[in-house]
Amino acid sequence: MFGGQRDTSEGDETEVVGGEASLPLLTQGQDSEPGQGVNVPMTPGEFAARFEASRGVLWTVAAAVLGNASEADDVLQDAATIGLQKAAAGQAASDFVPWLVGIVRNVARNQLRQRRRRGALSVDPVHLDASHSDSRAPATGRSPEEREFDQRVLEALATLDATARECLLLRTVLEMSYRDIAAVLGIPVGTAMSHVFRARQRLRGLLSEEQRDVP
Amino acid sequence: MTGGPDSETLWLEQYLDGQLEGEAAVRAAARMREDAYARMQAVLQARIDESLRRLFEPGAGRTPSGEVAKAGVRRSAPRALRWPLRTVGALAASVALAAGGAWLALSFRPPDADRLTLLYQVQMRAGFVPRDACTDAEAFTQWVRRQLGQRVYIRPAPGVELVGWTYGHAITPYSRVLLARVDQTPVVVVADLARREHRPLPDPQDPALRVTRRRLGMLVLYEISTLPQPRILPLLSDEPPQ
Repeated sequence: MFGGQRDTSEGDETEVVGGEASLPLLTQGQDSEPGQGVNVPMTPGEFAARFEASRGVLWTVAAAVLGNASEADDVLQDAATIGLQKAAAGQAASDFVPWLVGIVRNVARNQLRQRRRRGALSVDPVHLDASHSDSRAPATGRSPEEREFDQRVLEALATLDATARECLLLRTVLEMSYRDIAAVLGIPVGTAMSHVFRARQRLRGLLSEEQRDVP
Repeated sequence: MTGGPDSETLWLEQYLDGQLEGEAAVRAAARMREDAYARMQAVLQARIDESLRRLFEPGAGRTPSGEVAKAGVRRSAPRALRWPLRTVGALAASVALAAGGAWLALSFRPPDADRLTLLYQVQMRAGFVPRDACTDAEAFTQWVRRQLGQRVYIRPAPGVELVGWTYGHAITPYSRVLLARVDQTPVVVVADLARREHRPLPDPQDPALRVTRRRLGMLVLYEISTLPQPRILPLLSDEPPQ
């Protein structure tokens, strides 16, 4: 009884990217320890293709560790260089995404340490600077209320540990399953879920006092 | 931070996370209806989630390859993930639909094929009452920009009357829904970010309904009505009217 009619207007219609795409690289080497899989030979082309296919996850992990979005691209660039060198040396792990996530984490942490040494950081272990994110805010603009709220969210996010931020952003922004989150981060599924639940609770707790205009 | 939430709040976290199914989901929905604190938490969580997506969406406006990467990310369990924000849609709907008893209809997870029909019927049964009144073109543009981040202009046309905006479960549980009348006939327009649409919604089950889909910039819109032709979508543009 699907008698409803459907028109699709012409002109500005574009193909929608399918949402059910899997993360194929994640399923390889699942029997081995995450990030520790058997080393496999890999050409630079294969590495580039795999890297691009997992860029969303890697970028989100970088942003979570750094606490800001604007420098995540830089971390990815450095991580790609390191990963490519290792791959050329036959040291790429069969668990490609978890392996690269490990590299991204290390690069991001090193960057944080360097910034701290330069005195660019406050006493907070993670520098969550809203201005960084403002610089990449959608060109379509945000309302003043949204900007203010985003700033508060960033400040609240800074109170979480890095793994909690990783889990929360992978779940919320990329809508990954807990199984996939656990696989890429090398933690148990229950731990990933617990991180997300508690992170949400903490953020709500910190932001509830400032919550205004609840419908 | 590896301990989970306590048992008193676990249900809420599971509900917000979209993990509850069947009877458990119904019980949680009923509990939400009676628990003002839980409702407030759900609304706040949806607001936080939106903020996180604004702040941390990979590659937004920066690296084209980010879009490729996103296609490679498993969008797993979409039905489950629709729950947290559906909570907001359901909460908003519950306010408008309390008398009509449509809460449970919205709380249940409708199959994709039913969404447009259900959304239209719910709005009809709810009396076509918007959450935010919006009756002129300027307010329309401002509302869309504020809610969806894009300027959309509507050209005035004879017989077209804007009523206002509400929320409903269509592309996402919190899709924006424009209520309008064309020659006194109710017209519902769903608007959401195109990137949130995993696939175009199927045709409605109700043969009397006509659905027209349109992409406009980064938005995707569906017009639903009993009219033979779309009347609102042709009036929309991302360029200011001359």
